[in-house]
Amino acid sequence: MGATVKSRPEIQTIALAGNLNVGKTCIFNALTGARQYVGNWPGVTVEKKEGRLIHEGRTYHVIDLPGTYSLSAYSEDEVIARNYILFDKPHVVINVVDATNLERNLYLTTLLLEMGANVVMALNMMDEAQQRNIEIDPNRLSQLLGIPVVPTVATRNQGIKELIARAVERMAAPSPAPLKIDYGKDIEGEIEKLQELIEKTPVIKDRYPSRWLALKLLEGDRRVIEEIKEIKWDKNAEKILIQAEESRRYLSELLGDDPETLIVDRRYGFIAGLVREAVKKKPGVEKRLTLSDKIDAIVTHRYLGLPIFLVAMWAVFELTFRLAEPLSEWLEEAFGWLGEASAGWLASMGAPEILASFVKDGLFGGVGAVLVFIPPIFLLFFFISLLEDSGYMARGAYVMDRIMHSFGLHGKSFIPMLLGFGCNVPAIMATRTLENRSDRMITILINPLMSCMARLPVYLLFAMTFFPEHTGIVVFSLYLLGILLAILMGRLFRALFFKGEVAPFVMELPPYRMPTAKSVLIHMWDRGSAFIRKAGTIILAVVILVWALANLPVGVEYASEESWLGQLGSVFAPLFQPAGFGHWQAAVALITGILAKEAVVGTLGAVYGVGEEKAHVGILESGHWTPLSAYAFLVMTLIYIPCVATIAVIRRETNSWKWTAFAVAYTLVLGWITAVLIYQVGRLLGFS
Amino acid sequence: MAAVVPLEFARPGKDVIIKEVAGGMGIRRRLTDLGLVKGARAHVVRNDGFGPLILALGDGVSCCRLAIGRGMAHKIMVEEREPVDGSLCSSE
Repeated sequence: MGATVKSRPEIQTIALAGNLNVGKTCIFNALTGARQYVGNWPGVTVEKKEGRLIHEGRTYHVIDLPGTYSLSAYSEDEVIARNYILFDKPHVVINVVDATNLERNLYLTTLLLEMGANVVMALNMMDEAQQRNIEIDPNRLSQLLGIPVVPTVATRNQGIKELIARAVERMAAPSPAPLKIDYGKDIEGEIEKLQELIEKTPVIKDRYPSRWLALKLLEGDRRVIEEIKEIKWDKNAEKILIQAEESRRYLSELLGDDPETLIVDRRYGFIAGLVREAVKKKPGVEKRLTLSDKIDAIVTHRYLGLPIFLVAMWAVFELTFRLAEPLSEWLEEAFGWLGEASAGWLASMGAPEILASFVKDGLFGGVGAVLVFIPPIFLLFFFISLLEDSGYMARGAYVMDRIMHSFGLHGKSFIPMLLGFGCNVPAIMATRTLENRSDRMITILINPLMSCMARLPVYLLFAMTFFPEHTGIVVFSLYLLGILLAILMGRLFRALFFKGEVAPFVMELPPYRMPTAKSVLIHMWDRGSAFIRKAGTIILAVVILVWALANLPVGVEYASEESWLGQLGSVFAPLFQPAGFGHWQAAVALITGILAKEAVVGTLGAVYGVGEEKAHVGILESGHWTPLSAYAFLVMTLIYIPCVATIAVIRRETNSWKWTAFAVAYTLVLGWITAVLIYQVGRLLGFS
Repeated sequence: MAAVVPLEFARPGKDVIIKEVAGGMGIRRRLTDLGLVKGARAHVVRNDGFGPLILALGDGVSCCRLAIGRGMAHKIMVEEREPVDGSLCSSE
């Protein structure tokens, strides 16, 4: 590839590329086993999966590129995959191809080969192809493309050994010349002109394969043009761009269509030729409706589709949180007990009280706060991977799209929004199923507005104390308010920050498949362990910080007015005056509520000196509250700053402190405005 | 010759031939990536009159199902044809 020979490091790299739903992850798992880790590509929300393959005593670095149909500049995923192959130059690229859908999959293959990647093809899902009477001749395909083609059935580990052997073999061989598709006399003429200019410009020639670059310039690839513009200090760079512009105009006029379409058409023409040569299909056996179509006729039915989806979602929701609750409680109790025991032991050793309290509430409390999220996250991702791997998730998105569309959201956004009613942490992690960045960012940002279960005890405490006749309506109104604000904010953010990025709704409905235990378990483990590692540290740090604020200076009563936390509460209290709850106790409760929203109840019990079980008595007797100010406070509790676990997971999923800070800031401002509005308007209307 | 209509109005059970894709590069690119190029033949599996459509895309070899949003379907001009017997997916 050009004149630069990258110094080959000790460990050689294998990259996996392929369309979505072709079993790429399955092959990745087969290659790396448990030796894998998930991170993010720098600066973007896209997940980066890496792992190690050990073969005949040597270690290889395996990287799973995002699943893409193409390598253009239109999505983050594609740019990542393309730049990795172009600039990081993996030693070999395993292109995973769906044998039942060869023509479309080969599009990516030709793009990879045109870039000059060192490709080995895994012709996956051969069993399904056979079932459908599609007969592919791997040897012929290999001959035509000039690359090794290995038939595989990744779900049953078939062909993997051969694939590894071929990939390793290929690494030792010299890099092949890029594939040359004949684009016809007119286009070829312009390619030649551009290539000539490129060859004369070392800075560019060293960076890109020249024919590939010429093609991209003719296609008008935004990203590549931007990249060349950045090298404008070179006179030739400008010349290249001018020539590209000229060639594009010339071809459009000559051939009556834009060059991009012409080039893509030619590429498909080349692929159609390949398919004719390498594929035989036994005639007359294809049935009009496949099993998938029959299932689809029911689950995407115009009236049945929605109820079926809602029932499926309700089942996931119920199973996740019902099963998780006792487990989480058990973990919390176990850690509470461990904390008590160690504190008791420390006290018996004569350690100062403050140290014992730190170990009990700070350390064990903090670790416990992380661990309670483990059961719901593991369970949720277990069910989500079942839905995804089986192919049903795509149908759910299809069914929900008509409704979510009217909210300016993608059909797949529904799942995270619904899960938000259980807990925002796994809900935000579930946004990973959204492929489009702006859809995903919006869904993450508005998710905290969905009332999670931790907020319910706070709602109930105030609603039962001040609205004993209308508890249900008051609580319901808060859920509804959250939903309305989420829709409103979603629209606002789309208009403000993610304009022009509206993703058209096109998605593949993959055939239904039986999910494999291995892939479901790996998926579940990835999510769970990533949460502990990435979000856990932030949660722990904040729990310890708040513990310190509530217990210092030494000797104060927990969260009393004299503690630093109490003093902080007094500072903030006047801010809440317009919302009707301008006393330090409320402010302190809101601060500890950032730890976990349910902590508001316990804190109010503590600051009124009555304990958690009698918090309602303390609230009533303090004389601080009226029904109206209580409602305003609940609205604040609903909206203001997400809990620390949610903040941590927003940070992890957006991969950006800026957006995390934004989520914290906008919820705080929105909460304050809404609470003040409700209190003030309520008073004008004569409520108290 | 059958009339050219937006895909949005294509009837379920019919085949369509893609004639033109209006709209920006982004949309066109996404469609071509998925194999919806000019001249491609597809079978309308489902069109409820609201919500996305489902197409079976033919490549002469195998089938895949695509869900396409209404907004997008509005921008794709097609010609309706009677489906060819024997296979859902046959190319011209």
